[in-house]
Amino acid sequence: MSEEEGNSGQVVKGSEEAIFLVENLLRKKLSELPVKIYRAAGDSIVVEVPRRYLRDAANAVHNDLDAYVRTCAGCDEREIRGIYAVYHILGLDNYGVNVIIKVAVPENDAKVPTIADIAPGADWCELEFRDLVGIDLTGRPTHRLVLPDDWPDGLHPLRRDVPYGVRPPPVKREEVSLIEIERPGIPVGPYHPALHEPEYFELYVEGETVIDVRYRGFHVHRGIEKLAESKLTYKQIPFIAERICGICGFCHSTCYVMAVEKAAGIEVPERADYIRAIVLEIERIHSHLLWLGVACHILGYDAGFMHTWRIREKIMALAEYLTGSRKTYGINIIGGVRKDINKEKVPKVLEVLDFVEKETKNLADVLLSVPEVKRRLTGTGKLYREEARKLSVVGPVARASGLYRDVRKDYPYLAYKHVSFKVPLYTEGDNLARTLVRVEELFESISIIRQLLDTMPGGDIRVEEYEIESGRVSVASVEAPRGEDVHFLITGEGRPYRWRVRAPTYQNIPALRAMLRDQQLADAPITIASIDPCFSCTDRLVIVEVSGGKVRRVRRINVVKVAGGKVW
Amino acid sequence: MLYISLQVIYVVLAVLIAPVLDSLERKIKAKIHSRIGPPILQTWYDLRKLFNKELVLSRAALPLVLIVLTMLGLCVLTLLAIPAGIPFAFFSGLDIPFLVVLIASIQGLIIAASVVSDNVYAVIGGFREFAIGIVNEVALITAVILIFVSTGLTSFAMLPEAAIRPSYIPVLVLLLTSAYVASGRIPFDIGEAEPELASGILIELSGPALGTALYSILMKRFVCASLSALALVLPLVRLLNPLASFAVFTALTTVMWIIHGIIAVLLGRSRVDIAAKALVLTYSILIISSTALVGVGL
Repeated sequence: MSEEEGNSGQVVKGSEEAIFLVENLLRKKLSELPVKIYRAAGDSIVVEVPRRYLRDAANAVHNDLDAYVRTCAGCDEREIRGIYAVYHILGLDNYGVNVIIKVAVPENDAKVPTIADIAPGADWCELEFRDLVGIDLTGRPTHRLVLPDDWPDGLHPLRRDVPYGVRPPPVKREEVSLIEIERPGIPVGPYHPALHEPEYFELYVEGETVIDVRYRGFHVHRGIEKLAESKLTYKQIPFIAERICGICGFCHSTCYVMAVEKAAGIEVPERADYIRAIVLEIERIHSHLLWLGVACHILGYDAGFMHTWRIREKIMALAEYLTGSRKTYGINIIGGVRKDINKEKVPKVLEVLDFVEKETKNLADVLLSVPEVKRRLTGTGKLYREEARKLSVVGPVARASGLYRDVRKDYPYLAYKHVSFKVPLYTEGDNLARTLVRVEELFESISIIRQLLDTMPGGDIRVEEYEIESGRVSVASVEAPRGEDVHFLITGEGRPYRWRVRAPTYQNIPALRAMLRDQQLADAPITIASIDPCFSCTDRLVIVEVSGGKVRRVRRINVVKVAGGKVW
Repeated sequence: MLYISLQVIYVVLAVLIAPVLDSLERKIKAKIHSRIGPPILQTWYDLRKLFNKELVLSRAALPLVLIVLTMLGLCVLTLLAIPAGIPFAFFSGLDIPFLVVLIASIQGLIIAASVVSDNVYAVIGGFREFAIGIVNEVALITAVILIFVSTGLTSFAMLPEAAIRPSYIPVLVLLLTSAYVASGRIPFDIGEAEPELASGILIELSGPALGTALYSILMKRFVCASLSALALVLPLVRLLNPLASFAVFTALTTVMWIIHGIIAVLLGRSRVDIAAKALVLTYSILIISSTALVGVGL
């Protein structure tokens, strides 16, 4: 394992100096284009570019400045400015700065050129704003991604004039049959023992070797963004944000409150930053242990499964001790937290951490020495560095493929700047590397919590008074257990004007195609699980036919309607 | 008369006790997992529940049920043919060849079961069973034959030689290994590997049909444990009186079942290519060394 710090050793990531540097770089790179460059809230720079130059600007930022796609969002700004707008959020993790490329789209010609060929990571989010905001794309094949198939054309739920809760009568469509492949397709999902959430994979096999993969998802899109933009208030949203995910919900609520605090310029007390960071790390420990258990189960090693969950139980109890809930802690509010971690609680926390550290170490030693487990993790589900970069993968998936990418280091937030920790990095890109990244992160998280408890400052845990000006744009990100959560926010009156959530699995699922191809069928479940997918956060739909490593044809097929759906 | 009674008692015991041993295995597994585990009659409760359900047979299920029922019958016959620690041959004269044929048939049926379904999980599961089954069948049958050769038995009615020859050790290892593999436990349960194949060939079955299938798997496991116990008890038969020998054999069968269960907890699931390769390699070494040793009369 090695650690690299990126090539911006001279500047502190996310600092004023770094932002200044990036701003100058942008001015230089984009000098030929008629762009407007200005600072947004926090560590973000907005580049306003006319529609016809979008591709040039995206190319310059993504490819020349080595940025990666964090997400993109469409926004209906007709009420304010009579236009639609598209925001492409690109991250320069060497500087810790976000570049928001903003394009105005006239109402009567709602189309933007695609950048998915320049930056493949933008593939899904482009289709998503096409579905939800109704901004069409030029220069790429399109299909419905998020909306169910019986949803009428031309009704785009995230437009401001579409009321919340609209339920149009279902539209009957002719079923488009699946492209015929003369090989057995192994259905994995929407409900399947290897997937604990409703998703659908169809694996095409030759003998036992997977030669093609289809993926269908987004069965349980819940319209949380619309709910927040039309019904809830700023103060209510942290609680709904926490319910985006049943495992890493606190990451989402933290990400949301950070986005609002950034946009409104709220100075959060340092003690609250510490408490949030501690709870985030507790969440990471429970999530990684959960994953480790599931991975063991998938490999048929149930003893490992049971024992990781036995250890995890202590962490769940600890979360309850500190926040009042085992999960969905509900302690985040704008301006701070609701619950303090006082001195009396510290010894108990340390005791649990010691227990978890010791037990996890023993367990990891044992389970990584079980011959079948080791053998089946090694060399399976490979994702090479170049491919990983191209697809803008995040979290442990990126770090196992040799990409040094961790929001805690790249876009320093909360109290992480006050602690020292290593970012585990592996270059093999196989299932074992992803497992080892997570195992090492467990110990790093334990060490982070100890350091935070040791140096936690006194003082208030929240600010009560603040004003949130409307029309401010901000981007916040949190390193969730699966990778980075990104929340993009435009403030409005009493509630966000636009709130876009991007969960890490959204970026990582497209990488599965590369990981599954030419693998043994038996290794498909562990490979799918190795990205630690959280479908509830992500949920959407795509069918892609792949031939010789190239996307040959993209088709839309009828969605199997599945009700409900809960996280594992 | 005593021998016949003991043999029949053994088969009746097997029929009743196999699900109990399965519960015991689950209980021990739970202890290793740091769980409490089910009560000792849980598997019987499960079977009762399945048999109380309505019988639904899909197109592929009917041949499968027939196969499963045949397997159940074959298992009972095999248990009659395996001498319960006593010098007794239920099918006198042709007892040893008959046992070999029965074991081969059970393995063959598992393979047959794999190709009757058109469900894709079942087909793939079936081909995996097929791959492992073929490799293992050779080893198991060779082991059974070598056991008799190296103990000088031509019929179960005879008393085996008391002195253990050196060749008996590789033969014993071969038999214990192949009996374990034949019991269909982790790491060799790849035919019904739950994560990707959703129980493989069992996926078409439900209710009483599934109950029968599960019960026949338990009986097969009992046969595997009995074969291992027989190999262990054979050198002792001459030294013990029939009742003691029967008791030792029955106890050893239980112990072997539990050992099988514990091994399964400690390992993860293998993959068909890795498992087949590993087995071919291990078996080749064991078969060659044991045949050579038996051949030169060691």
